[in-house]
Amino acid sequence: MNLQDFNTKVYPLKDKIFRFARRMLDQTEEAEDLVQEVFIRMWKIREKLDEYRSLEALAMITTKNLCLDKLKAKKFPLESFNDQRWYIETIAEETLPDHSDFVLGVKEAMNTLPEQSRMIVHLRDIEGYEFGEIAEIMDMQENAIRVALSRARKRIREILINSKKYEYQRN
Amino acid sequence: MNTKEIEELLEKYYEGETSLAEENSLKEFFSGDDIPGHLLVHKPLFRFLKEEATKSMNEESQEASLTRHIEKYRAETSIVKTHPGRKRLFYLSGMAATLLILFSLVFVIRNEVGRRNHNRDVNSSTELAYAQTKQALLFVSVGLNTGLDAVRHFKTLDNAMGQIQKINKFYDYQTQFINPEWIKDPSINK
Repeated sequence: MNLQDFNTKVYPLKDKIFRFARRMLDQTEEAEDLVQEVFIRMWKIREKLDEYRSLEALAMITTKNLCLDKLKAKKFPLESFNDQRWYIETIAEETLPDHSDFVLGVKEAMNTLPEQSRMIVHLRDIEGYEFGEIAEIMDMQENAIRVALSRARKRIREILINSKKYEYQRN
Repeated sequence: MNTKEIEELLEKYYEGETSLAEENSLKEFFSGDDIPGHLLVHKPLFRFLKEEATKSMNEESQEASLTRHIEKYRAETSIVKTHPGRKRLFYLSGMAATLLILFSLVFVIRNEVGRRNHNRDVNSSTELAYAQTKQALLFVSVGLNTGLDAVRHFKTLDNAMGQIQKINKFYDYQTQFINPEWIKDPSINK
Protein backbone atom coordinates (compact mmCIF):
# COMPACT_ATOMS: atom_id res chain seq x y z
CA MET A 1 0.00 0.00 0.00
CA ASN A 2 1.48 3.34 -1.02
CA LEU A 3 0.97 6.78 0.48
CA GLN A 4 -1.94 7.58 -1.80
CA ASP A 5 -3.84 4.43 -0.83
CA PHE A 6 -3.04 5.12 2.78
CA ASN A 7 -4.44 8.63 2.49
CA THR A 8 -7.68 7.47 0.91
CA LYS A 9 -8.28 4.29 2.90
CA VAL A 10 -6.78 4.77 6.35
CA TYR A 11 -6.65 8.52 6.90
CA PRO A 12 -10.45 9.10 6.73
CA LEU A 13 -10.79 6.89 9.82
CA LYS A 14 -9.16 9.60 11.92
CA ASP A 15 -12.40 10.96 13.38
CA LYS A 16 -13.66 7.53 14.37
CA ILE A 17 -10.33 6.73 16.02
CA PHE A 18 -10.31 10.12 17.70
CA ARG A 19 -13.83 9.76 19.11
CA PHE A 20 -13.11 6.25 20.37
CA ALA A 21 -9.84 7.33 22.01
CA ARG A 22 -11.41 10.37 23.61
CA ARG A 23 -14.27 8.31 24.96
CA MET A 24 -11.79 6.02 26.68
CA LEU A 25 -9.11 8.51 27.78
CA ASP A 26 -11.47 11.43 28.48
CA GLN A 27 -8.77 13.87 27.34
CA THR A 28 -8.67 15.58 23.97
CA GLU A 29 -4.91 16.05 23.70
CA GLU A 30 -4.09 12.48 24.63
CA ALA A 31 -6.69 11.25 22.16
CA GLU A 32 -5.11 13.35 19.38
CA ASP A 33 -1.69 11.86 20.13
CA LEU A 34 -3.20 8.40 20.13
CA VAL A 35 -4.63 8.96 16.64
CA GLN A 36 -1.11 9.67 15.38
CA GLU A 37 0.15 6.61 17.19
CA VAL A 38 -2.46 4.43 15.48
CA PHE A 39 -1.53 5.88 12.07
CA ILE A 40 2.16 5.23 12.73
CA ARG A 41 1.44 1.62 13.64
CA MET A 42 -0.67 1.16 10.52
CA TRP A 43 1.97 2.83 8.34
CA LYS A 44 4.66 0.55 9.69
CA ILE A 45 2.73 -2.51 8.47
CA ARG A 46 1.58 -0.85 5.21
CA GLU A 47 2.98 -3.74 3.17
CA LYS A 48 0.65 -6.19 4.91
CA LEU A 49 -2.44 -3.95 5.09
CA ASP A 50 -3.96 -5.44 1.93
CA GLU A 51 -4.17 -8.82 3.64
CA TYR A 52 -6.64 -7.51 6.24
CA ARG A 53 -10.31 -7.96 5.52
CA SER A 54 -11.33 -4.72 7.18
CA LEU A 55 -8.92 -1.83 7.73
CA GLU A 56 -11.51 -0.12 9.88
CA ALA A 57 -11.69 -3.07 12.28
CA LEU A 58 -7.90 -3.19 12.40
CA ALA A 59 -7.72 0.52 13.19
CA MET A 60 -10.34 0.19 15.92
CA ILE A 61 -8.62 -2.85 17.44
CA THR A 62 -5.31 -0.95 17.47
CA THR A 63 -7.03 2.02 19.10
CA LYS A 64 -8.66 -0.22 21.68
CA ASN A 65 -5.35 -1.86 22.61
CA LEU A 66 -3.43 1.41 22.79
CA CYS A 67 -6.16 2.94 24.96
CA LEU A 68 -6.12 -0.03 27.32
CA ASP A 69 -2.31 0.22 27.57
CA LYS A 70 -2.55 3.93 28.36
CA LEU A 71 -5.26 3.37 30.97
CA LYS A 72 -3.28 0.57 32.58
CA ALA A 73 -0.19 2.78 32.81
CA LYS A 74 -2.29 5.47 34.46
CA LYS A 75 -3.36 3.18 37.25
CA PHE A 76 0.12 3.26 38.79
CA PRO A 77 -0.06 5.71 41.68
CA LEU A 78 3.23 7.45 40.87
CA GLU A 79 2.17 8.32 37.38
CA SER A 80 -1.34 9.37 38.30
CA PHE A 81 0.19 11.53 40.99
CA ASN A 82 1.88 13.66 38.36
CA ASP A 83 -1.08 13.45 36.09
CA GLN A 84 -2.68 16.66 35.08
CA ARG A 85 -6.08 15.11 35.40
CA TRP A 86 -5.45 14.16 38.98
CA TYR A 87 -4.41 17.73 39.64
CA ILE A 88 -7.54 19.17 38.07
CA GLU A 89 -9.71 16.76 40.01
CA THR A 90 -8.14 17.76 43.31
CA ILE A 91 -8.52 21.43 42.48
CA ALA A 92 -12.15 20.84 41.59
CA GLU A 93 -12.75 19.06 44.87
CA GLU A 94 -11.08 21.80 46.84
CA THR A 95 -12.84 24.69 45.16
CA LEU A 96 -16.23 22.99 44.96
CA PRO A 97 -16.93 21.70 48.46
CA ASP A 98 -20.54 20.99 47.56
CA HIS A 99 -19.50 18.37 45.05
CA SER A 100 -22.83 16.55 45.09
CA ASP A 101 -24.41 19.65 43.59
CA PHE A 102 -23.00 18.60 40.25
CA VAL A 103 -25.64 16.78 38.21
CA LEU A 104 -24.22 13.99 36.10
CA GLY A 105 -24.57 14.40 32.36
CA VAL A 106 -24.65 11.61 29.78
CA LYS A 107 -20.90 11.84 29.24
CA GLU A 108 -20.16 11.51 32.93
CA ALA A 109 -22.66 8.67 33.20
CA MET A 110 -20.81 6.86 30.41
CA ASN A 111 -17.49 7.49 32.14
CA THR A 112 -18.70 5.61 35.19
CA LEU A 113 -19.02 2.44 33.09
CA PRO A 114 -16.22 -0.14 33.14
CA GLU A 115 -13.81 0.11 30.19
CA GLN A 116 -15.28 -2.79 28.25
CA SER A 117 -18.91 -1.66 28.53
CA ARG A 118 -17.95 1.89 27.67
CA MET A 119 -16.27 0.65 24.50
CA ILE A 120 -19.28 -1.42 23.50
CA VAL A 121 -21.76 1.43 24.07
CA HIS A 122 -19.55 3.81 22.12
CA LEU A 123 -19.10 1.45 19.18
CA ARG A 124 -22.79 0.65 18.96
CA ASP A 125 -24.68 3.77 20.01
CA ILE A 126 -22.33 6.45 18.73
CA GLU A 127 -20.46 4.85 15.84
CA GLY A 128 -23.35 2.56 14.84
CA TYR A 129 -21.43 -0.67 14.24
CA GLU A 130 -23.20 -4.00 13.65
CA PHE A 131 -22.89 -6.60 16.40
CA GLY A 132 -20.64 -8.71 14.20
CA GLU A 133 -18.19 -5.83 13.76
CA ILE A 134 -18.18 -5.07 17.48
CA ALA A 135 -17.56 -8.73 18.23
CA GLU A 136 -14.52 -8.62 15.96
CA ILE A 137 -13.15 -5.44 17.50
CA MET A 138 -13.75 -6.52 21.08
CA ASP A 139 -12.76 -10.13 20.45
CA MET A 140 -15.94 -11.36 22.11
CA GLN A 141 -19.01 -13.44 21.25
CA GLU A 142 -21.98 -11.53 19.80
CA ASN A 143 -24.26 -12.74 22.57
CA ALA A 144 -21.91 -11.54 25.27
CA ILE A 145 -21.87 -8.15 23.57
CA ARG A 146 -25.67 -7.94 23.52
CA VAL A 147 -25.81 -8.75 27.23
CA ALA A 148 -23.08 -6.22 28.12
CA LEU A 149 -24.71 -3.57 25.94
CA SER A 150 -28.12 -4.01 27.54
CA ARG A 151 -26.62 -3.89 31.00
CA ALA A 152 -24.62 -0.76 30.21
CA ARG A 153 -27.62 1.03 28.65
CA LYS A 154 -29.72 0.28 31.73
CA ARG A 155 -26.93 1.53 33.98
CA ILE A 156 -26.79 4.82 32.07
CA ARG A 157 -30.57 5.15 32.30
CA GLU A 158 -30.44 4.53 36.03
CA ILE A 159 -27.79 7.20 36.59
CA LEU A 160 -29.60 9.75 34.42
CA ILE A 161 -32.98 9.15 36.09
CA ASN A 162 -31.42 9.40 39.55
CA SER A 163 -29.62 12.66 38.77
CA LYS A 164 -32.83 13.98 37.21
CA LYS A 165 -34.73 13.16 40.40
CA TYR A 166 -32.05 14.89 42.38
CA GLU A 167 -32.36 17.96 40.19
CA TYR A 168 -36.13 18.06 40.74
CA GLN A 169 -35.75 17.68 44.48
CA ARG A 170 -33.41 20.63 44.63
CA ASN A 171 -35.63 22.92 42.55
CA MET B 1 -44.06 7.64 14.73
CA ASN B 2 -46.50 7.57 17.63
CA THR B 3 -45.76 7.50 21.33
CA LYS B 4 -46.65 3.84 21.77
CA GLU B 5 -44.20 2.72 19.12
CA ILE B 6 -41.46 4.82 20.72
CA GLU B 7 -42.17 3.25 24.11
CA GLU B 8 -41.89 -0.21 22.60
CA LEU B 9 -38.65 0.71 20.84
CA LEU B 10 -37.24 2.09 24.07
CA GLU B 11 -38.07 -1.16 25.82
CA LYS B 12 -36.25 -3.09 23.08
CA TYR B 13 -33.37 -0.63 23.14
CA TYR B 14 -32.65 -1.21 26.82
CA GLU B 15 -32.76 -4.96 26.28
CA GLY B 16 -30.16 -4.61 23.53
CA GLU B 17 -32.53 -5.96 20.87
CA THR B 18 -32.97 -2.98 18.55
CA SER B 19 -31.48 -2.88 15.09
CA LEU B 20 -29.29 -0.01 13.92
CA ALA B 21 -32.21 1.37 11.89
CA GLU B 22 -34.47 1.34 14.94
CA GLU B 23 -31.84 3.05 17.02
CA ASN B 24 -31.50 5.73 14.35
CA SER B 25 -35.25 6.37 14.37
CA LEU B 26 -35.06 6.76 18.17
CA LYS B 27 -32.29 9.31 17.75
CA GLU B 28 -34.35 11.11 15.10
CA PHE B 29 -37.43 11.16 17.33
CA PHE B 30 -35.59 12.62 20.33
CA SER B 31 -33.83 15.29 18.29
CA GLY B 32 -37.30 16.69 17.40
CA ASP B 33 -39.27 19.04 19.64
CA ASP B 34 -42.48 17.05 19.89
CA ILE B 35 -41.64 14.85 22.86
CA PRO B 36 -44.27 13.80 25.44
CA GLY B 37 -43.41 14.78 29.03
CA HIS B 38 -42.88 11.26 30.39
CA LEU B 39 -40.29 10.48 27.70
CA LEU B 40 -38.24 13.63 28.27
CA VAL B 41 -35.94 11.70 30.61
CA HIS B 42 -34.47 9.90 27.59
CA LYS B 43 -33.95 13.04 25.52
CA PRO B 44 -30.44 14.00 26.71
CA LEU B 45 -29.14 10.49 26.08
CA PHE B 46 -30.22 10.22 22.44
CA ARG B 47 -29.26 13.80 21.66
CA PHE B 48 -25.83 13.13 23.11
CA LEU B 49 -25.40 9.91 21.15
CA LYS B 50 -26.35 11.66 17.91
CA GLU B 51 -24.15 14.69 18.50
CA GLU B 52 -21.12 12.69 19.56
CA ALA B 53 -21.04 10.87 16.23
CA THR B 54 -20.51 14.16 14.39
CA LYS B 55 -17.54 15.29 16.50
CA SER B 56 -14.35 15.39 14.47
CA MET B 57 -10.74 16.00 15.19
CA ASN B 58 -9.64 19.60 15.14
CA GLU B 59 -7.34 20.22 12.14
CA GLU B 60 -5.14 22.65 14.07
CA SER B 61 -4.61 20.42 17.06
CA GLN B 62 -4.02 17.57 14.65
CA GLU B 63 -1.08 19.46 13.18
CA ALA B 64 0.21 20.26 16.65
CA SER B 65 -0.01 16.60 17.57
CA LEU B 66 1.80 15.61 14.38
CA THR B 67 4.57 18.12 15.16
CA ARG B 68 4.90 16.65 18.64
CA HIS B 69 5.26 13.23 17.11
CA ILE B 70 7.82 14.36 14.55
CA GLU B 71 9.86 16.07 17.28
CA LYS B 72 9.74 12.90 19.35
CA TYR B 73 10.79 10.84 16.33
CA ARG B 74 13.66 13.25 15.56
CA ALA B 75 14.86 13.12 19.15
CA GLU B 76 14.89 9.33 18.95
CA THR B 77 16.71 9.18 15.60
CA SER B 78 19.30 11.78 16.57
CA ILE B 79 20.38 9.49 19.39
CA VAL B 80 20.75 6.65 16.91
CA LYS B 81 22.82 8.86 14.57
CA THR B 82 25.51 9.60 17.15
CA HIS B 83 25.80 5.92 17.91
CA PRO B 84 28.14 4.71 15.05
CA GLY B 85 30.62 7.56 15.73
CA ARG B 86 30.84 6.52 19.34
CA LYS B 87 31.34 2.91 18.35
CA ARG B 88 34.21 3.81 16.02
CA LEU B 89 35.86 5.85 18.77
CA PHE B 90 35.50 2.88 21.10
CA TYR B 91 37.26 0.52 18.66
CA LEU B 92 39.96 3.09 17.87
CA SER B 93 40.79 3.60 21.54
CA GLY B 94 40.93 -0.16 21.97
CA MET B 95 43.39 -0.47 19.09
CA ALA B 96 45.49 2.41 20.46
CA ALA B 97 45.66 0.77 23.88
CA THR B 98 46.76 -2.55 22.35
CA LEU B 99 49.49 -0.85 20.33
CA LEU B 100 50.71 1.04 23.40
CA ILE B 101 50.97 -2.18 25.41
CA LEU B 102 52.80 -3.94 22.56
CA PHE B 103 55.36 -1.13 22.10
CA SER B 104 56.03 -0.76 25.82
CA LEU B 105 56.51 -4.54 26.08
CA VAL B 106 59.05 -4.50 23.24
CA PHE B 107 60.86 -1.57 24.83
CA VAL B 108 61.06 -3.23 28.28
CA ILE B 109 62.28 -6.57 26.85
CA ARG B 110 64.96 -4.90 24.74
CA ASN B 111 66.19 -2.91 27.74
CA GLU B 112 66.32 -6.02 29.94
CA VAL B 113 68.25 -8.02 27.36
CA GLY B 114 70.74 -5.16 26.88
CA ARG B 115 71.37 -4.90 30.63
CA ARG B 116 72.01 -8.65 30.98
CA ASN B 117 74.49 -8.61 28.13
CA HIS B 118 76.34 -5.73 29.83
CA ASN B 119 76.56 -7.65 33.16
CA ARG B 120 77.88 -10.71 31.39
CA ASP B 121 80.78 -8.63 29.96
CA VAL B 122 81.85 -7.54 33.47
CA ASN B 123 81.80 -11.09 34.86
CA SER B 124 83.80 -12.45 31.95
CA SER B 125 86.84 -10.28 32.74
CA THR B 126 87.96 -11.71 36.09
CA GLU B 127 90.67 -9.14 36.71
CA LEU B 128 88.30 -6.25 36.42
CA ALA B 129 85.91 -7.98 38.79
CA TYR B 130 88.71 -8.59 41.29
CA ALA B 131 89.84 -4.95 41.14
CA GLN B 132 86.30 -3.75 41.60
CA THR B 133 85.67 -6.03 44.58
CA LYS B 134 88.95 -4.96 46.15
CA GLN B 135 88.08 -1.34 45.73
CA ALA B 136 84.65 -1.90 47.33
CA LEU B 137 86.13 -3.79 50.32
CA LEU B 138 88.73 -1.07 50.79
CA PHE B 139 86.01 1.55 50.87
CA VAL B 140 84.15 -0.42 53.57
CA SER B 141 87.36 -0.83 55.59
CA VAL B 142 88.16 2.91 55.60
CA GLY B 143 84.63 3.70 56.65
CA LEU B 144 84.75 1.18 59.47
CA ASN B 145 87.97 2.70 60.88
CA THR B 146 86.45 6.18 61.05
CA GLY B 147 83.46 4.67 62.82
CA LEU B 148 85.66 2.95 65.41
CA ASP B 149 87.35 6.26 66.41
CA ALA B 150 83.99 7.49 67.62
CA VAL B 151 83.27 4.26 69.51
CA ARG B 152 86.44 4.77 71.67
CA HIS B 153 84.53 7.32 73.81
CA PHE B 154 82.34 4.50 75.09
CA LYS B 155 85.24 3.34 77.28
CA THR B 156 84.88 6.46 79.49
CA LEU B 157 81.17 5.80 79.84
CA ASP B 158 81.95 2.23 80.86
CA ASN B 159 84.25 3.41 83.68
CA ALA B 160 81.55 5.75 84.96
CA MET B 161 79.03 2.91 84.91
CA GLY B 162 81.43 0.90 87.17
CA GLN B 163 81.28 3.68 89.77
CA ILE B 164 77.50 3.69 89.73
CA GLN B 165 77.53 -0.06 90.23
CA LYS B 166 79.21 0.46 93.61
CA ILE B 167 76.42 2.76 94.78
CA ASN B 168 73.87 0.12 93.84
CA LYS B 169 75.68 -2.45 95.94
CA PHE B 170 75.59 -0.04 98.92
CA TYR B 171 71.75 0.23 98.57
CA ASP B 172 71.36 -3.54 98.57
CA TYR B 173 73.50 -3.81 101.73
CA GLN B 174 71.45 -1.10 103.46
CA THR B 175 68.09 -2.82 102.85
CA GLN B 176 69.29 -5.84 104.79
CA PHE B 177 69.20 -3.76 108.02
CA ILE B 178 66.26 -1.41 107.40
CA ASN B 179 62.73 -2.90 107.55
CA PRO B 180 60.71 -1.26 104.73
CA GLU B 181 57.57 -1.47 106.95
CA TRP B 182 58.93 1.36 109.11
CA ILE B 183 58.88 3.76 106.25
CA LYS B 184 55.38 2.74 105.16
CA ASP B 185 53.63 2.87 108.60
CA PRO B 186 53.57 6.37 110.16
CA SER B 187 52.33 5.10 113.63
CA ILE B 188 55.75 3.57 114.44
CA ASN B 189 57.38 7.03 114.45
CA LYS B 190 54.97 8.09 117.15
